[in-house]
Order: sequence, then C-alpha cells, then structure tokens
Amino acid sequence: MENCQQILHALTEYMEGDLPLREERGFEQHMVDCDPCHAFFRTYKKSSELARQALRVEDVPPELQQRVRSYLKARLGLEQ
Amino acid sequence: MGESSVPSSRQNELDERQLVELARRGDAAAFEQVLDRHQERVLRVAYSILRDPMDTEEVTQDVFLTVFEKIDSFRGDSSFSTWIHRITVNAALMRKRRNRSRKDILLEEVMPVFEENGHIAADVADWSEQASDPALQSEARAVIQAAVDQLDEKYQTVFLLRDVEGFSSEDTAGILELSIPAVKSRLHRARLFLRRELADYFERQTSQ
Repeated sequence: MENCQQILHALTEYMEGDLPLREERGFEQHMVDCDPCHAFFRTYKKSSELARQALRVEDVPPELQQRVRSYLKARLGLEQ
Repeated sequence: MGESSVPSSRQNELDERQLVELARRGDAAAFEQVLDRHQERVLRVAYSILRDPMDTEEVTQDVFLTVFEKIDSFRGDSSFSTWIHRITVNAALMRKRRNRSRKDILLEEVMPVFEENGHIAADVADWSEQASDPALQSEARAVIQAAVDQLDEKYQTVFLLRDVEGFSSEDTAGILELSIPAVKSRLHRARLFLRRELADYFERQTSQ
C-alpha cells in the first residue's frame, strides 16, 4: 500500500486487525505522514462510534418484553 | 408441551447443546430457558432494524414461534444463537421490505477525489472533535438515523449487527449467511456512506 486511495480502502481491514504486519506498519506510518488521510480515518471511526451511541437499543421497554413473553408463554403452553 | 425432566436449578447450568436437545423433546423448562437467554437480544436486533415497537413485538413473537416450531430443523451447523438471530433478521427484513427499495453505495460518491497517482487531491476536514459537542448531538443523531434508513438493506443489516449491536464479523457473517470478506466489504461501504453524510452535516454547521 503506497498511496492514499489504497490506504483508505484498507480502513476496515486495519480496524479488524486483518492487515499483515508490514502493511499495518505502512498504514500507521501513512497516517503520521498524511493529514488528509488521518482526518478521513478519524472521522470514519467517529461515524461508527456516533452511530453506535445514536442507534443502539440499550433498553427495550420492559412492557414490550413482558407482552412478548406473556403471549409466547400462553401460545406455547408454558404457563403454570 | 411436556413437563420438565430436569430440576430448575440444573437448567441454569445447561449448555446450549443440551438445551436444544431438551427443547426438541418438548421440555417446557428448556423452552423457557431459550426465551430467557435470547428474548432480550432478539428484541433489540429486531428493534434496531424496524424502529417500531409494534412491528418489533409482532416480529419477535413470530421469531420464537418459528424457533419452537422448527427446532427439529436446527442441525447445529452454526450456533443456536446464530440460527435464532438469522431467523430474526430475516423476519425483520421481510416486515421492512414492504417499504421502498434503496440505493446502492457508489464508491466515487463516498470517497475523496484522488489524483492520478492515487494521492488525495484536497484537504479533508477533521470534525471528530466537533462531533462530541453536546449541542449538536440530537441533530447529528437525526442525520445518522436518516443516513442508515437510506442504506440498501444489504449494507444496513451488516452495519446494524456489526457496528451498532456489536456482533463480531464472524457472527454477522453466520447470521446473514455471508462470507466474512463480504461482511467487511459491506461494512466498509456503509461506514463510508455514513461518514460522508456526517461530513456534509458538519460542513454545513461550520459554514453557517
């Protein structure tokens, strides 16, 4: 990997730890040397992070859980 | 539905294989354990895709009815959890497919412009610090939701399972019956698309 185009196509591979050691080092050196790629990488990672915060369903409403459970228990004959 | 053949204290210790075997034989306590172990995550995954409580409730009910009806067809090629989540994603997508078809992601629209030698042609704004500004959080959240809604489902499901719900790439591949490279390729495109949408948003903020 030598140029920005190749580096920016390898962002997920880098984050997943899939790059061979030599390419991983090349990737990291490129990030030190190239401000635009570094900015792109930082915002790429930040986008995932923001999506996780914005979209993750932390708490399914308890009443929803309860309704599903009651329905299934009745339907499957699991009630005492 | 038969009576439980195993004391409830031991049920807690059952591993997945034993649990499936007991559920196959119609063991009521085993079915309850399946619900206990998987209901919350199934609800979360369905809700991530559907974003509607009523649809989520109906889909989750259908998922467990399918699981219990088809448990004999579970062959153990993947883990039981993977199998359940595959049924969940398929059921949620079927429900969602009533909606429109979405557009593909074209790389030239989400990557910067490159010179002929592959070097980046212009500066890239780094808005990663600005993105932590609490004043922008709720608008940014709306931008993210709208962006993910626009994604074609082949990208959207990978992104939601891997980046939002935190499944590993291997589990995401198992749930969606894709190869791991296909998961990573779709994930990369989805992340690029989301980054572009957020970059446009933060650029508008800066220029105001």
